[in-house]
Amino acid sequence: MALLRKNVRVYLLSVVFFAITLLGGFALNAQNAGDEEIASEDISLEDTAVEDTRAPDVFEIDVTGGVIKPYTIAIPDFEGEAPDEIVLGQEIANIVAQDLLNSGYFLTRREIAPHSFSTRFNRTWLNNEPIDLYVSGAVSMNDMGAVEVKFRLYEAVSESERGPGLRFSGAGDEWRRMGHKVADEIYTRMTGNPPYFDSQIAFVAEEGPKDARRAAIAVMDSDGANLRYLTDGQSLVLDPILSPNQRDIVYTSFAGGKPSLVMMNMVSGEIYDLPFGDDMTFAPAYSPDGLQLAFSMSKSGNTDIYVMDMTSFDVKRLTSTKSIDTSPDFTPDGKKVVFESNITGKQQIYSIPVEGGKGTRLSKGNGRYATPTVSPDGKRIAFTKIVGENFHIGVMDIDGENEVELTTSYHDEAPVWAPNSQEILFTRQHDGDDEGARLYSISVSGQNFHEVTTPSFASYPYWSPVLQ
Amino acid sequence: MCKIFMFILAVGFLASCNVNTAPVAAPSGGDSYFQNVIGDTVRFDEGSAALTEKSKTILRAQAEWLKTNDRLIVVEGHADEQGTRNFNLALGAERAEAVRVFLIAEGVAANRIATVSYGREQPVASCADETCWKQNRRVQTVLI
Repeated sequence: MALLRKNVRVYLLSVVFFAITLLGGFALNAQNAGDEEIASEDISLEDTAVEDTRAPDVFEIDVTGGVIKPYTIAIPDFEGEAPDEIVLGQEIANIVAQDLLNSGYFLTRREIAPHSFSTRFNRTWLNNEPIDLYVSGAVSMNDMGAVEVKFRLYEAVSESERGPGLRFSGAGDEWRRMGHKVADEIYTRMTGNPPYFDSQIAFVAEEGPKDARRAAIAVMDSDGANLRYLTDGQSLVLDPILSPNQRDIVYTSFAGGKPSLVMMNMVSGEIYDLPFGDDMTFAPAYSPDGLQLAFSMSKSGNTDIYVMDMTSFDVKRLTSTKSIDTSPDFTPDGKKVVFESNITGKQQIYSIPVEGGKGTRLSKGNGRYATPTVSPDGKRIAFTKIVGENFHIGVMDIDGENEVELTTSYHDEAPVWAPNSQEILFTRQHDGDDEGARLYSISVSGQNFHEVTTPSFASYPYWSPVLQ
Repeated sequence: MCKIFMFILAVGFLASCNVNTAPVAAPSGGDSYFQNVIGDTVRFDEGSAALTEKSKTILRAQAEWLKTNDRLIVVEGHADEQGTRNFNLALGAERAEAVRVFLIAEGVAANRIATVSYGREQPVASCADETCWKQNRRVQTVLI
């Protein structure tokens, strides 16, 4: 960090805010992660310790209708004793239910009567209602404010547990995260997909008319809670990405009069100019290990892809074309960079080894292809596709095969993947004077389309990995 | 001079004030002459950074003015909203560079010119069709 020129302006508000909301226990510092992360452990019932080892069901998707048949899951209030615990138990159950409902795989029933956590589930609790799953949960808080959340997942028909009971414990201000952890565990057990609820979304918050728009970097939990603004709206800002360790956020700032990548330490609130010289830099992407940053730099009007070593801050050039090369993203193995280039006259998606070499064209259809992002499992690429005056969000296999258009609108762009490699978050700009952009989510199967609501206009989202 | 010209505009004697006639077009040191009479903005075709003949005419006049007025300039490249954000930032940079290179060739010292791209982020017209887009695909030469 000593190599970096610290920006004169330090956002004091940000510093104070993070001292309150983040230092309480997020695993922001990798070295201390062991102390600060949410601990979880298996808990077994007194009368039976039999663990369900069956493979998770895979959802049956009706290919003709494309409709998922969701599980109906009862999520009563989590049990608590003291008044604070009772309220917390209701809130935790709300978070679990909202997460599971948003996934599209579940219908949720919050109103089913709770029973003591220590009592084994009995089918008669459901009064013959058509319910597939039952969640029994409990919360407790100790004198130090630490919170413990535990749950069991039961199958209604067999009355047996689906997987082991789990206990999560952590600092009091992490209670929402514990709700997300419970939802992630249930989601993963029932779908076989990786978890994704306990994660962060960064985006550009925007307000005001088109010709006088103000923008600020914002970060929120995956369900929209804990929204905070990291910049003050005085300078135009674009394209935030979080470092894999969730400590830093890199974005494009016009504060110095031209677009330049800057890095903010989210713990201290300090902003650093990354050392590029005087050329425009934008479109950042971290390597999965956080040790490299790919980005675009424009030299004498020509935009190419570069890669910076985040330890030595050495910069090397990855592409050398006379065309516009931008929107880089790493593959999860860190070995390749996908990007867009108009080298043929029309934007297409290419991949190139991060060590340099020959680029390979991946997109094959008609239209212009832009903003490729690779799914965390490395299997697919999401992209923006422009055909005539229509914008689409599409996906294709990592080798460019099996392209599918998921959306069509006046202006959809900049898709990013949820950590489960199933949901895709993107920006939709609506048609019309002084309309703004909003965030929407759709699953890779084209289902579960919904808005991810934000208080202001929002664009260019980034979705973090699941927190540790 | 500048004030007189603006006054004439304001009271509507436009017929007697054709900007192409000699008396008004005489070189002036005023910023508003550069901005409004010569024109500080050139436009581009969709997706293109190529200078049109009309743009070159304007830029030659900008260069002439800059030769007699020792000012620094920022050449600001812009794009319409029809492309993606990153591409438009790069396209704005290409457009600004095309103008910078042309002004240098016309005799403006390179060290007087800075460039920046705002991509599609600072439109001058807000509607969602070509009537606005064509105004937003532009390079503006800003006197500093």
